[in-house]
Amino acid sequence: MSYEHRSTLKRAVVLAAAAAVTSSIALADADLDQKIADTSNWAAQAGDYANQRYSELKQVNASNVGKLQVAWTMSTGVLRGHEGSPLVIGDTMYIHTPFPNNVYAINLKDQTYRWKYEPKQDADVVPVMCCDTVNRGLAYGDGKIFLQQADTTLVALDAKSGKVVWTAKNGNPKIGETNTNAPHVFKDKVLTGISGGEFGVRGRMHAYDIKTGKLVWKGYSSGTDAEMIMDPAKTMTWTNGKMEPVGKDSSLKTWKGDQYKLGGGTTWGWYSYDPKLNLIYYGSGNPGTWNPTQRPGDNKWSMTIWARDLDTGAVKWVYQMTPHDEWDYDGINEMVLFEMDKGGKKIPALAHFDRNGFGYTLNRETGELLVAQKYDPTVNWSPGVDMKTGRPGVDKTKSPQTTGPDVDVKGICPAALGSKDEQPSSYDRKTGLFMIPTNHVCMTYEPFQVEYTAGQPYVGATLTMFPTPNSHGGMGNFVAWDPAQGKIVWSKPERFSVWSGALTTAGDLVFYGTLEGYIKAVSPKDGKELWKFKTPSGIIGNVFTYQYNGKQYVGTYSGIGGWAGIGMAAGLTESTAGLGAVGGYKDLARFTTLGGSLFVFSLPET
Amino acid sequence: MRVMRWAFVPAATLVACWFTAGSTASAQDQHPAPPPAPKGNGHNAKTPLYTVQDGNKVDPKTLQGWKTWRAMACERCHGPAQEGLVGPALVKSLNVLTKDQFHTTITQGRAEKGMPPFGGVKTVTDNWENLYAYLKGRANGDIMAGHLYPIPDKKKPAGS
Repeated sequence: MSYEHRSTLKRAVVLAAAAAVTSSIALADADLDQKIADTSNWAAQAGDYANQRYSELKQVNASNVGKLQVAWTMSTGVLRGHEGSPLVIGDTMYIHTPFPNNVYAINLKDQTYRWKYEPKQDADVVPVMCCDTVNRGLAYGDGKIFLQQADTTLVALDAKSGKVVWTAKNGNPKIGETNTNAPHVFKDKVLTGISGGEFGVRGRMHAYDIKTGKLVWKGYSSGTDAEMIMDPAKTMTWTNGKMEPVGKDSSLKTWKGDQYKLGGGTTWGWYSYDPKLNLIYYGSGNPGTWNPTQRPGDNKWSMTIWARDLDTGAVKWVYQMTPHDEWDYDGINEMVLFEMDKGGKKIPALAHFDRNGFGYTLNRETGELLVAQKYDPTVNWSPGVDMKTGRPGVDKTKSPQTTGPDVDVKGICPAALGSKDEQPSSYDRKTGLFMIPTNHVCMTYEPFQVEYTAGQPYVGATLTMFPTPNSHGGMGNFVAWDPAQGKIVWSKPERFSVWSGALTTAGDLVFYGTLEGYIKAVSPKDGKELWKFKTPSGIIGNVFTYQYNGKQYVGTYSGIGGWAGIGMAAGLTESTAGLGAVGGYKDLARFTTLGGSLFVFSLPET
Repeated sequence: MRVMRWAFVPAATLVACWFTAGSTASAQDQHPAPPPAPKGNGHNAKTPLYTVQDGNKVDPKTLQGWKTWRAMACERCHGPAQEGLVGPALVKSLNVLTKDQFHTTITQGRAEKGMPPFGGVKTVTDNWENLYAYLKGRANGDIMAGHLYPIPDKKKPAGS
């Protein structure tokens, strides 16, 4: 199925294909399909099911973007990290906030509130959120707005009235389980994961019935084949140049004893869906403790790209990017689905820009590994990925496993927060290139022995972070990437990590936000800056766009926090605090402070 | 909303501390200059509670005590230099509590103040006396804040 064209034809084909495959079609997604097909809306966090973060709107374009100005603004009423973006459906914008996770429905005509949902959550959840009290946003489907609260409660609200339709309890904060991810609506299901990789939490993916909130399936990231919903003979993985079955106990065999129960593999990133294949795609996080010698084995299936059947959760294929992780390179970043031309063929592809610094391209239908190349050339923990086995080589001088506990390993690139963290990339449909917001940061890493206590951190490493040495001196780059060749096309340095989500439009523009607080428009051809505006606080949200009454608007949250901004967000000053981020990003204090607002821009009236 | 580190957490609940992963030896300037020679202190002149050299090199048991401090992430509440955050400054508390009171506090916790009990954690039950020695050395100003190291062997055989 091509993702390149929005049309009702696509929807008809989707429904016909679904009908051919199964008899029990739930058309609950017809609502969201329709909302996504209308290019005036921004009806899903990534704009679509494929995670492309692309808009066909072109009223704002390269020739007039220099005139973009503030149209209206709103305070969110909350401070700390503002990730994700609002949704826009018709004449209503749905806004969410960091903890306490308020939801507001705004009338686009005059920015008055249609309704508010202000949940009461136990504040005990805040101390077990590792990396700021962020929330990555809402989902829409079947006439409902879905909120995934920090305390793990999943809430379905009637989109018109804001009344609670159903709730579901997704986890237990008393054992360090929380949620920061946005829920995702695919067909008749609401997908949501879990956070807590720094608290020994056992990662998994959940699918809830969109109408009732009943749990339909739950698939763990580690453990028995049944717990993971893997079939030893049918679930496939890239092995010696081809797809092979994973075999029996593919996870259990790679852990010592029952350590897999503290095995992480959390699922707090961005998910995507192919309606034709009926597969969902997402990545799993770190394998529990950051002290690698404490958990021998490949620790499957942490740091893995997953393809699961949407209806049953059955795993079709997996690919582990960082076996036996030694650096906290969580695999949770977005899986972007697109059609790729390679060798004269059109391949149903998936691209993923991992924390570990490698940009991967896979065949999303089969799981075959096609490309694995560094999207930051300074990545040094691995010389490269063996394309036959899919396994990365490891430089022993950058390996805390090799030197052991209580030894500080110096100069590892990238730092634990990766060449890119959750901040999502964007796919340019016109050029076939990816627009990637990246980090350019290295670290020292000293692991140490830790013991698990439920509800307490289970980490076991001290880090310091700093800008990549012998480079441009900044902590970020905005990168244009060729997913077929695995090559950087251009790279624009930034003073700080680009921690916002990118947006590409048919107006030949790429938008992103900086940690100093600038929202910028650059050319997708060469990264040349075409427009910028300084918002009140650093931007870690995702730039979005919509059309209302014939006018195009571009918007972003402004409110620093997240892992990079944790020093500011939590008032930390000690340099190794915040898992090393406090020292690394201390310069931010010269440029910004906390905030919480929404900025919406448009062209002046002509 | 006014922002403080602990804004969301009432005193009676689980600790409001933010998540840190260790400490650096960055607070030396707050403490007296470390003595040049190994020094002991404690209950009995024959078996000092701890031995410290250059302020940051300690005997194996005290080193284990520091490792226990690090492993349990105590700095989340008590600060990386035991100077106090939402929890009290241990550099002061250890001059007030007896060893038995320390033991009781750490194993049972102080629920009303937000300190969880650590009596069920093997690392703590095995090492609480070592942890006491480390913290007493901090409170006495003999041991520096931050990363500690073993006292290097020069001519003595290992295990002195």
